[in-house]
This record gives sequence, C-alpha cells and structure tokens, in this order.
Amino acid sequence: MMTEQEFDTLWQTAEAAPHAARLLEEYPDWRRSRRRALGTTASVVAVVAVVLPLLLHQPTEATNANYTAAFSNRPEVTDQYWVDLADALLTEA
Amino acid sequence: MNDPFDALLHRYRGLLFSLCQRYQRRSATLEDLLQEASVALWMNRERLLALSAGPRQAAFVWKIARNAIIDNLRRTPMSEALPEGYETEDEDRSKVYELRERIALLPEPDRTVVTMQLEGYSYEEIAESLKMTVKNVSVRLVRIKEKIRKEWT
Repeated sequence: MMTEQEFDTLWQTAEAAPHAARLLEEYPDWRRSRRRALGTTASVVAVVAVVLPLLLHQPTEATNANYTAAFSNRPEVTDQYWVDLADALLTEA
Repeated sequence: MNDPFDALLHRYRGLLFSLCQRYQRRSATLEDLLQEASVALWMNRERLLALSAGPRQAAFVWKIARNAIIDNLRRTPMSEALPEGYETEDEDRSKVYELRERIALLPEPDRTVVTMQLEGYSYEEIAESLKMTVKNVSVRLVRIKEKIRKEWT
C-alpha cells in the first residue's frame, strides 16, 4: 500500500496535469509571437546599426577634402575631362 | 471556470517556456519539464498566490520551476547514452495514468466528483453542479482518496 505522503504527491501530480496541459496549448502561439518579436528586434538593430548611419552621414570639410583629392585633383581630371564626361552622359541619356 | 492558478501560469508562461526550452533534452522533452515545473508550482500554489503579481512572485516562480527541472534532469539518464528508439520509463507519469484508470472505474457520482476536482473545480462548483452540499463533496472526496490509496498495491 502506498504511504499517505506518496499518495498525496501522486494526487497533486494528477491535479496539476490539466493545468500543465492548458499551459502547453499556449506554447505554439508563444513561440510564434517570440519569433516575430525577435525578427522585429533584428530589423531594428540592422536599421539602427547599418542603415541609419549611412542615411544620416553628412560630409564634413575633412571628407569633402578627401573626395576632392580622390576625384578632382588627379592629373588626368582636366576641364576637358568634365566636358567629355558630360557629353558621354548626355549621349547615353 | 476562472482558475487563479491557470492565470498564474499564463502570466509567467514566457518565463516557464524559456526555462524549459533551455533545459530540454532528448530524454526530457519540453512537455516533461513543463509538467514537472507545473506540479512543483501547484504544490506551492498557496504561497505563490498569496504574493501579489510582481518581481517577488516572478522570482519565486522561477526558483521553484528551475529547481523542479534540475531535479527532473538529475533523475533522468543522459539521452546521449541511450540507444536509438529507447524510451525512458517515466514512473511518475505511469502512476498518474494508473490513478486515472482507477478513477475511471469508480461508480457515479464519485467519478464525476473526483474528475471535477482534478480539473480544478472548487468544492462549491462541484456541489452546485451535482446538487450536493459542499460538506458532502468534501467528505466524499476524502473517502474516495482513502479507498484508492488503500487498494493501491
């Protein structure tokens, strides 16, 4: 024969079973909503970390000087170069 | 039936699911661990429900559930050591099935009284549903439980 304590534990396990079953029914919905939340968080992080800095990037005097040095101050970039480039672009258009 | 214990489980479902997900194994599925945690919470329900919803209650839920899960993992053999297709015998669960079978064999209205009690209905709800007094429900339940316990071999 089972002791009173063993039986009490067994009875409580049986009492808890329907509650656990009801809780388990909520699991698929919870997992879906959690995945959605994680997806949203990942999107926000991507926007904040990558896209936003690019969009908000403002040229400064230093970066402007770099661009000028890189694109305009080369020996082959003459006034004729710009005229030819403009002609080529207009022809393509 | 608006059960306060169900409401408690619903409130902390995220915490419980995350905890069970973290500890689940081949030999201890999420379902097993959730069952184990639910039983432990059920056994402490009076103390838990006495606390108001908040950080203290959440911490208590977390502690009880985590301890229950770890106890379960200690009792369960490591799944990796088991051959493919081998299933561990969950003794507690098979006892619950046996209990349910014994309850199913009870005469009416005893079977309904016990079933309703196990489903979480209060004595008042059972009494109203079966046109009995609350005292009658209470006494009947004590007698049925004692009968099942004594007949258990």
